[in-house]
Amino acid sequence: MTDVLPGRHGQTSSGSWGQWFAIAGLVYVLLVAVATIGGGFKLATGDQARELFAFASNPITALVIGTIATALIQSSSTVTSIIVGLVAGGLPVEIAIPMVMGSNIGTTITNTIVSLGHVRQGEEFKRAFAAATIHDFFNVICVIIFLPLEIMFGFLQKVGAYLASFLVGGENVSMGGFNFIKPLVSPPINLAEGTLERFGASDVVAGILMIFIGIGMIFLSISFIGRLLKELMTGRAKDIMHYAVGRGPVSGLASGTLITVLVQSSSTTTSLIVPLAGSGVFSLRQIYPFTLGANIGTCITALLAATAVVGGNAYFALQVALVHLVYNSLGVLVVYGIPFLRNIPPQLAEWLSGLAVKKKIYVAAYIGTVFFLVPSALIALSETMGI
Amino acid sequence: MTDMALQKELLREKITQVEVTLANLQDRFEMLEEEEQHNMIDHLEDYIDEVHTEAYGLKEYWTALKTEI
Repeated sequence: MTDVLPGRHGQTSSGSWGQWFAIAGLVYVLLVAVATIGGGFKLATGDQARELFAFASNPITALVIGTIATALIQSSSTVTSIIVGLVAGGLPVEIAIPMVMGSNIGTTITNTIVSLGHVRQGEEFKRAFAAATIHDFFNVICVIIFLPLEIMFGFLQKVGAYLASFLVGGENVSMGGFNFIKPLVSPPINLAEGTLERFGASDVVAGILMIFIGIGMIFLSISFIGRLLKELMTGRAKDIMHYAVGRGPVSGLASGTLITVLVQSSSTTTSLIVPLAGSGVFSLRQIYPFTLGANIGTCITALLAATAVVGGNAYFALQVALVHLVYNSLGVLVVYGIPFLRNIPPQLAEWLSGLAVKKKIYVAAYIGTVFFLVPSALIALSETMGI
Repeated sequence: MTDMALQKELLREKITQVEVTLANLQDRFEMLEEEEQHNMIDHLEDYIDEVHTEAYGLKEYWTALKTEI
């Protein structure tokens, strides 16, 4: 057994002020980035942005785009923030919702790949791979349950709209109608627009450039925020995890949520449990609710991003961010709340890890099937069925 | 008390004793398990540095797969 070393509690409070100022600055960059995407669409298309997305009407394609984009970028926070920016630019909410669902699946590839670092350790790999893929199976089951319901009834869209109507006042997200975001994010956007015009760029070119700049800024800001918070919040994460030990699944779920909010990255939380479970000290059933907490905690980034959206689409941007939160919370309530469903992800994860430890090719087959084969087949099937 | 009733009473007592012993063992096991978990959490900074090791994971997997094939 390992010796008890003194913990590094209180590390957060001694964290450098400079790092906290950097985080505040990066959050501001994130807000400006999301608003820049919306502004870019407005500039490029006038008020016809919704028509631009008219081609995007297939929810299955949207799901696959969300999955693959997140798997490639390896950050669901970045993709959901970009989706919020696209909604601000006119992407219909009914298409953004399957994209958000897809981002949940896409993000699971990160910890699956991290678990491959244990591939030569036999039983340790088996446990680590099961701990990683339990998240995959949970998110796939959520999509299987909720996507058809959403396509048929649009219930998430309605719940999101209902909740957004409480929070939106005036033309963007504000408290009691006081517009406090616009004065903060508008100057850099106006500056960018003015600069691009001075260089002789047409509205369309300037708008497109702003969209790409916004996407790049989201990617960079979230990436740097994650790195800084990971460094600053390790002490706090330890305190939270110490508190959750031996307190049951609700504490596990809450600690997973809190740690993800603190580090602003579900991949960090879900990858963190891979070595913990791989060692055998934490069982698969113990880390399961902790992993699900990451799904809920990651919603904070899109909500934050939605506060930056100004103009007529601010309501829809907030709606989609709230749908993300409602969807992930409902997923936990339904799939983890119903014993029959709750047991499916761990059973499948244990079965798959059993296969993977015997033959490594099953890992490649699994990743290829979940992230490439099934998405391609789904798109083909949905096109054939005319969904 | 009949023989049968006496035997039943003795067995019931033994079952109770075993149940108490089992509960104690279970408690000790949980305490040890939790202590082990707390120890591991104390080393969290070591594990948090390992969370973005995708390239290493892929490399290890590729080596293992080549060996297997």
